[in-house]
Amino acid sequence: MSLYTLSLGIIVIVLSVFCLFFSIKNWMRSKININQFLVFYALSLTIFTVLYIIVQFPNASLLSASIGENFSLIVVLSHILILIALQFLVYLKNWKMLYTFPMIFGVILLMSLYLTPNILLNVGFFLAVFVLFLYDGLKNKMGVEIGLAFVVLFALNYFPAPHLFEELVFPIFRILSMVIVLIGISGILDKLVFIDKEKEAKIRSAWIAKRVIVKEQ
Amino acid sequence: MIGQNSISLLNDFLQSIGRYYAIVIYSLITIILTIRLIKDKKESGNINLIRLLILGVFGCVYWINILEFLAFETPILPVDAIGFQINDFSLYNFGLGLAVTLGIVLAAYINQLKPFYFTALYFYFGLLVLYFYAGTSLILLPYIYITGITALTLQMYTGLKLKDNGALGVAVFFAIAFVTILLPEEGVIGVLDALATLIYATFGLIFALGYFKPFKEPGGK
Repeated sequence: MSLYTLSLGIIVIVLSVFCLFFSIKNWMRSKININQFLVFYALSLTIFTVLYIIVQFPNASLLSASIGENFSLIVVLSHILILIALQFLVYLKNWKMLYTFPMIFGVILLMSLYLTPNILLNVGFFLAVFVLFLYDGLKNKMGVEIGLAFVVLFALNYFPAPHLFEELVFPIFRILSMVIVLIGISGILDKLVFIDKEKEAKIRSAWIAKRVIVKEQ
Repeated sequence: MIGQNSISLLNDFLQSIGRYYAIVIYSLITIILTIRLIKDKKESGNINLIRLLILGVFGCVYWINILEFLAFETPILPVDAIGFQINDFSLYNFGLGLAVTLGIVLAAYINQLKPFYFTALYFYFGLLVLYFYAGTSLILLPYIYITGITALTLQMYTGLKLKDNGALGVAVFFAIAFVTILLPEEGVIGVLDALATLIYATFGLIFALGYFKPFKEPGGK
């Protein structure tokens, strides 16, 4: 494992710890289901990033072993991360008919990992999931959803790829996606980009009304 | 004493009769069920999903029988082309798999298990995607057997619990159909298989005509 990969991996871990911190902060503020889920999700994201570093060491060859064509611990866990996010979206949207779809199609995708060296089906499916999250997030102006969309991209960067990609390109993409995940989960995106104009107008008019009353007095 | 040759001849004869019988009976069943579905749609304005699913199940069995008839009784289709004895997706296994999958969908729909309405369909079409993508489906036959037995059990349970003639009818139909799939077509047991084919086709017709009514007053607890 090169120093370059290790240092970038540690940056990813730090970013995921920040995600965990912000999700816990959100949960302390409001103990709704979404925040509770985000705490567990950020925790699993952190564990995943740590596990990835552990797997890279030569002593952990048992953990990095791959069964069949591409069925290895890290790839399977990255699949599970995306599928949990998709399951959460389905639950959030109350699409009851699709409740079992992520699990069932996940099994099919894991089987394809075992059977064929080609991961086009998996990448294609997860890119569709990314677009779905992004579209829905932009439509509803939800920063958390945009963050989850980039978790999908983040996990996609752990898929098997040519050596050059795995060593040079993917670590940078992981950091970039994790930064957007952090921005989404921390609420910065909601505060700075998705400003609720109606709410802002209400606050502004309330302030103007107050000023008028003060002046009149 | 009956010789091996006579049994083989009797078996071939019964199997052949069974195929002709099945093709006629299933044509009738499909027509009757389609007419009933259309009539229902005209009366209520909506498509009755239970009728549609039952038509789907019988339509799949009809498809299997057409393939068997064309392959074994006519020179139109070679036996290898229908994939009668292969473990992967074939014209024959596709129909069989879809029939048992629709059986599960029907059971979920009757029991109002909304999250599970399409679970079996997702899995089946996932297997189909995997087949086109990876060239193998790996677990198609275990899936067909497990899903078939599950569908049969669920239909039987639903039929008895809700005193539903439709669910119980499909369960009995599946049970006899499974016997014909499990039994080999050769030798003495082949004769039993041929008889079972005749029985389940006849039962299908009785069911489609609406004469299968073990519960006079449907609707249990």
